[in-house]
Amino acid sequence: MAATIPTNGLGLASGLAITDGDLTFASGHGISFAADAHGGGMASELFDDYEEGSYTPTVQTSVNTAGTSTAVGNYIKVGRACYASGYIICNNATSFDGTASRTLRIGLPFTSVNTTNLYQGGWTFGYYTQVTLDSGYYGLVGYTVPNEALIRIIQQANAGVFSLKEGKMNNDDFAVMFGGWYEIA
Amino acid sequence: MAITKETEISKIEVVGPYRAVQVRTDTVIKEDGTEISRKIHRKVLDSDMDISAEDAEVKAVANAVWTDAIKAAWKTQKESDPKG
Repeated sequence: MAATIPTNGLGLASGLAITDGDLTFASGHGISFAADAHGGGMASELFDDYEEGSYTPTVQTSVNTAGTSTAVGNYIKVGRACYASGYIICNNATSFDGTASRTLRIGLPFTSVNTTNLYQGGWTFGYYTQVTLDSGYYGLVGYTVPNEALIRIIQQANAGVFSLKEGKMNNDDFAVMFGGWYEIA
Repeated sequence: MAITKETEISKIEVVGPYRAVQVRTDTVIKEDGTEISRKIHRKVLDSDMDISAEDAEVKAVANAVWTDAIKAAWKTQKESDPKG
């Protein structure tokens, strides 16, 4: 560091252009938008985190986790918003739990925000195979419960939704591609 | 020119009422001691998971916060199907 301004900070009247290198913040600090108008429910106006990386997604019930031959996941965290995506191919899907009635979930890279009754339904499943939906259901969607790093997988029908159960997988090679945004803790 | 690869646990965070343990692992590639690449991998450990293969520091944090009451509360939460 070439120079440090110890007190009072630095005011710039004509912007700032960085020609090389990064703008680095101490932990807990970032870009404040407090000077802008905000909505009534505003909780923070400080953009203090960005991160991108990988994680290993899983297929789970409430008790067990399926083995996988492929499990690839990435995430992008922008403040407390996280986009996660992944592709999973199981290799013991029909037997990993042994209880057909248990519902299926997919693991996520961060725990969801602790807000009562904030069920987050921003998940899409662009591809899935080796699963037989219940009669009348035509697709999969998902939601995340507060305080969980899980997508709860549900079947969708015109009349409503119903959880996807372990017993609906009809081949060990159950596979799914998914992606979506959610608010994290 | 020496290329090295280092793996370090850069964050261990305890999150939420069920005390989920969020672990960030960084893989850093260095050339002659200067970082040239960093990859981040994340995982979330819940109190019903087997952590026997985890790093000692992660295990210490998890074992400190995963009381029997936390484990019981998480089990109840995970077995629920609130919108099923």
